[in-house]
Amino acid sequence: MRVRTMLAATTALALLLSACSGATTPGGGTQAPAGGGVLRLNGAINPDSMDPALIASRVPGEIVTTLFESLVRLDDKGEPAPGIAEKWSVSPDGLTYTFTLRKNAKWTDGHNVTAQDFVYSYERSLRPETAAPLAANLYYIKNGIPYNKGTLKDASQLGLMAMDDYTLMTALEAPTTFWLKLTAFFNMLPVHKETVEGKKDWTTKPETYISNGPFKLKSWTPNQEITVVRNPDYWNKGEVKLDEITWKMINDSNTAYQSFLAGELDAVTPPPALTAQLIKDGKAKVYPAARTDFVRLNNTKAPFTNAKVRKALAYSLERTPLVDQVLQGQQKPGLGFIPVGLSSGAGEFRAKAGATIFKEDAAQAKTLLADGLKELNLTAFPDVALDYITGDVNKKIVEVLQAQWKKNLGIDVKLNAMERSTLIAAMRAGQYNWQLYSTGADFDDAINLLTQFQTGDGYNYGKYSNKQYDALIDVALKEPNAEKRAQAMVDAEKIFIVQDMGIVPLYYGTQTQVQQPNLKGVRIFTAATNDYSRASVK
Amino acid sequence: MTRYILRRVAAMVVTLWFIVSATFVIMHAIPGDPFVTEARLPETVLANLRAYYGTDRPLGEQYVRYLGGLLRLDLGPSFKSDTLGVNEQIALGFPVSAQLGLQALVLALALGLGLGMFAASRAGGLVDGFTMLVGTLGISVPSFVVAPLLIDLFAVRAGWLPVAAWGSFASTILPTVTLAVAPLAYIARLTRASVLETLGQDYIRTAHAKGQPPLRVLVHHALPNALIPVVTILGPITAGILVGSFVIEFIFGIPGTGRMLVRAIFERDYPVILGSAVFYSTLLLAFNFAVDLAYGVIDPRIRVERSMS
Repeated sequence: MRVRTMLAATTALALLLSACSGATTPGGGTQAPAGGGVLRLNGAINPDSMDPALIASRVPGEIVTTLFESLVRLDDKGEPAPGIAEKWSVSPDGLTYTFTLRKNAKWTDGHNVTAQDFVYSYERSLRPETAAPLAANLYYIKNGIPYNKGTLKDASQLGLMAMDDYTLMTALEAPTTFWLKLTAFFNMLPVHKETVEGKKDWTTKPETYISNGPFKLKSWTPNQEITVVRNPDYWNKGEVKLDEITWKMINDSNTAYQSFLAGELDAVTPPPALTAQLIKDGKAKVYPAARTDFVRLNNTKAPFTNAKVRKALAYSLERTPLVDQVLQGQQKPGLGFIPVGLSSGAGEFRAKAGATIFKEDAAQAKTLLADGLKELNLTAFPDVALDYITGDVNKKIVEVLQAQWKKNLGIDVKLNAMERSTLIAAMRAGQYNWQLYSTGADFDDAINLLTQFQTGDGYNYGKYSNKQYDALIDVALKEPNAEKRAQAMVDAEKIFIVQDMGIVPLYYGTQTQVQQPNLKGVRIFTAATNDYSRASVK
Repeated sequence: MTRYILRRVAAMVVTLWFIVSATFVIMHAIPGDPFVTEARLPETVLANLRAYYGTDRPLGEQYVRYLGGLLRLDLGPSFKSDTLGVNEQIALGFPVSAQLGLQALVLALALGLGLGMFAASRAGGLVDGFTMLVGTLGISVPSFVVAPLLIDLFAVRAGWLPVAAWGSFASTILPTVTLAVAPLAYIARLTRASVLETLGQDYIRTAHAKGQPPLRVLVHHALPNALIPVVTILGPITAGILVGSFVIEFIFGIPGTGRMLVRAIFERDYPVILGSAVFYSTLLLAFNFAVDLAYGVIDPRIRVERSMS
């Protein structure tokens, strides 16, 4: 009897002690929808930076897209609509864009947004000392490359000029049909000079975070959440319905999904294991993702030096079962390189190039492999392990590839799981044979992905090299006529895939989201950052 | 006694230095560079970054500079975060992890001791068997199984508690319980065995013979001796809670130092990795030292031994 009492007392004591040691930390999380008008999202990890020039990842990009406004903002269809710029004109040679800025756009400290703000911001992004990770997006500006590399020191030589307070001129290296859309990209958002120049910590406090967009920073509790609140001085506030947006930081996708089920979040990306069922039940929305998953081949190492071997590997796969039964995310088989939904500058690229440009053919693959190996003086497919980044989905993919190559080519492929940074280090050092990888477009034009395979390009980790391909890409980089340019890119893809098969394409990716039924107006783009600024939860 | 303490402190400093050096070596031995990511930075920019953070210097020089910083209690800037240095990150994360760890420890101790004593006093019965079964399950079922289960039951279905994140007291309940499960089981089993053994001693029989009430015999006579093994494992238990917190913090989205360390390893944020190693080691060493001192309080024999050495 006494021991039982003691047990009860001990338990009570334990709970009491726990209660005493508990203290509420500021910035407590919301548990139920706060009366409509507050959108709760998951940002997964604490942003390394909230400075538009220093951001390189998706979620901070989403956040600053609500805080700042660039020259244009993408509308529902992903087309450029007036932002800070009321109107614009392009010179006949396609090299000069002149933007007329509206006079009622303000920074949150009351100053007007001017053309000088844009000149300053782009120069700052290109400044080598800033170390902007995605400065390459600004290389389309005249002299952007030498300035960023440090060989040109005079900033006035950049193709940027404020003709007056409200007229901005951008001079480009070559005709760039996607320039307008690119200015909406998150690292091309303008920042306020007096706030930023020389200051390190301006992003950490709402008082110093001067911005010009639909929302302004309300609070940033590191590692916990970021909240932005409606900006009453935004020039287009009529279009903004939400009162607040909060990004929580839950790393685990399963927990985030459970949060969604409990009504604590309004939209999440579901965990991969549940995606197929959710799509089947109609609970998840699927969007194309301008991303191609492929096997990168090291073109300098045997047997991948031989085009017949490379083609054999590509023709022998059966991509439809891979996407329909294993991945089940409504991905599309990749019988080409450029993914569906990406523009050619003159309409969708795949519509112009053809949905598929090569065929799966196991019989032909077998012959090609035999011929290719003979040309290399090899009697069998060498023992080269396929590297992949550790993860459930990746593991499933490479196991399918392994099984299909065994079945259709009779070769045994070993698999090698690697930690992410280790694989990237090996990739950049060229110390690999082949690896599972993917590439996605930062902006809506196929050139984004095609330049990666030019000889000497910084991203050409597979060392693919074809002079004809290089020449066609150079044409695409300079050609003012959109149709001719698109054709050059279509031809380049044919050389890259049909003639050379420089990589083994697998499938075109998708993005999935589950949303609460009352969430509307979310803009999820194929090749641009998601825009929540026009959403509503009422 | 003073000499004993001085000797221990000196040993702790040496251990700490060894840990820092070992971490430094291992960290740089893994492939992967903090600045070489998928984004393509021009060589001049990479060079600037490396110069700024000092990673272009020879490793020996980096090591010495780091030790110098340690003496000033400066753990350096983070390679990844633009706004938070290592000291700031630890300062933000530690109160959270400490609260979680302490709550779990208190819960595990209180319930574990209580359950263990209860089982021992009812040894051989159904209650004893059941309690020990629960104990075994607690040790065997991993936290990343327990966590989603608890979340599903109490947060999603019942809606009594929030699923994740950190803020209100309610949001600390599920993580605390998940973290406390395994240590609780260990403590319960150990307490039961220890109490049972102590209860068989002659002096207990003497106490009963003198007419002491059973509860007083249990708590005043048996428990202090039975506690010694439990105090012994407090060091490893705390270590287990600290390390277990990595998984818990990750699953529940808790902004603690555990999650910070895991992320730093993946991203090769060397200063944060080193800083965490220093921080956790110091904590553990200090805690183990405190446990050792506690022995002197609980067991007079040990106190005498020490003052004679």
